[in-house]
Amino acid sequence: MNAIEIKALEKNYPGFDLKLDLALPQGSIMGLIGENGAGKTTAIKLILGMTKPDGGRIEVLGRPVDKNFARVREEIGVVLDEPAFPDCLKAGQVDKIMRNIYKNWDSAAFRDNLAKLSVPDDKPFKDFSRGMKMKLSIAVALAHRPRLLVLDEPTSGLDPLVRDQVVDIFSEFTRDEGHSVLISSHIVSDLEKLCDYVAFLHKGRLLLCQEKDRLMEEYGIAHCAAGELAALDSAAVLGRRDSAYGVSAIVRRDAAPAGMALSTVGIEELFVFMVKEEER
Amino acid sequence: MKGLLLKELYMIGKYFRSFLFIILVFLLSSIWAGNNLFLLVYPMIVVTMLPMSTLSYDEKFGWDVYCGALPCSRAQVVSVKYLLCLLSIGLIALLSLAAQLARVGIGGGRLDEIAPLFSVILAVGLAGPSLLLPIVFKLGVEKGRIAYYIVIGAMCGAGVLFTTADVSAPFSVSLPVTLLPLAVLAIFAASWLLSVCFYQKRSL
Repeated sequence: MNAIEIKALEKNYPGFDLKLDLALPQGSIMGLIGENGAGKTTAIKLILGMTKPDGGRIEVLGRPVDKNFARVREEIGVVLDEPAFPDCLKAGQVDKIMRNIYKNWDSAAFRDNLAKLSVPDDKPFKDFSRGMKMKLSIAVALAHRPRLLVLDEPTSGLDPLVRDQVVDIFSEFTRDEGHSVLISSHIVSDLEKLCDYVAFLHKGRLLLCQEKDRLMEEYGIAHCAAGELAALDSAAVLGRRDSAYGVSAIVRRDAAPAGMALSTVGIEELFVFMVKEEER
Repeated sequence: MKGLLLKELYMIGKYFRSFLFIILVFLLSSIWAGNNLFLLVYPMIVVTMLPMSTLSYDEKFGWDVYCGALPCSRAQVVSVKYLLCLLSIGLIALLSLAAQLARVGIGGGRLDEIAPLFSVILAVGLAGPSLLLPIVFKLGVEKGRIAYYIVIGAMCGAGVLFTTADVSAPFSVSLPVTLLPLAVLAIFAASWLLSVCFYQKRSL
């Protein structure tokens, strides 16, 4: 079963349209990578039923995103790109509010997460740093025993140590096979550590959606002369960058001739190369 | 919905504490100030603006968007604001009643004036949010601000007109005046349905 299944989804705004087909298998972590304005937040809002699509179908945890979707959100933990609690609220008050919103709210788990993330419960939200606000949102997202986490830039504004801690918390969450995570981030290194699948979104279109390890195994970076690259099947080249010294290209390993040196490709390089190829 | 209401109460407790002071000053003044309806109408106007004010804070903090990701229906989000209106109006009505009974107690008014007076106060209290909330739920606080100021101005204008009114003369107990709150309550219910309809269609 897929935790999220998106088919022929369309959302049109003046000057921007999103078209998306995507499936997040249950028990997996998928990283949504894209430049600013690629449509990551729009996709997340559509998945959560916060915005109505102009076409297509979305199912989350086996249930369609429709007017009765509010109940399904009981099983979804959400962190949005902007932490959004009223400035006057303290973490203790957030606990009381959420206890009356989520049926499965676990105050002990919430307090435990606050302690783990060093979030004070006696300070108002307005006195929190951005990182602290994000950590409170993460503690809320995890405290009602969700089956799916939908996270929009959850690590932005966090220092490397806390980011590492948060990534560990999300990894621990997916130890349960029934738990899944969809996470968008600009910090690709976090996604590299965390994700089973990566999806590249560029200008409202899905460029790629594949298992991360398979991508790493299948592709490598070749640094060679333009002529050498031209001899390869163009379908085996995902993207290229020309420079005065030659060409760097992402090449399918099985299509590369023997003797062509291929270095390991990172997710960030892969994304940048593919976007540049798309815009060529 | 209880959680959403609790959040409203926390916000009111923090941001609108001064409102309570203003309301108390006006209501206490109404005990000794003769037939001055404005002293009773103004606290009602102040308190019925609370849902619009908390909506404005919700938009400022992004809570309205975050709320769309919580297991709350759009109807519940709207209903909480209307419930807040009814609770505030009920509270002010009780305080006003206490003030008017005290006025009668010190010989400043008549008992038979209280019912029609209340009809007018309740009608004023229900009318503002009934007109404003659908606009705000349709357009958002920022775009709905012009409508907000027009309605506030009209209500304050009406309040000023009442300032010079002799309460006993125009509002002697008559069927239409005492039924006024019921008529406005029907408009309030229609306004709630309209707001739910508007908010369900809005993208967050």
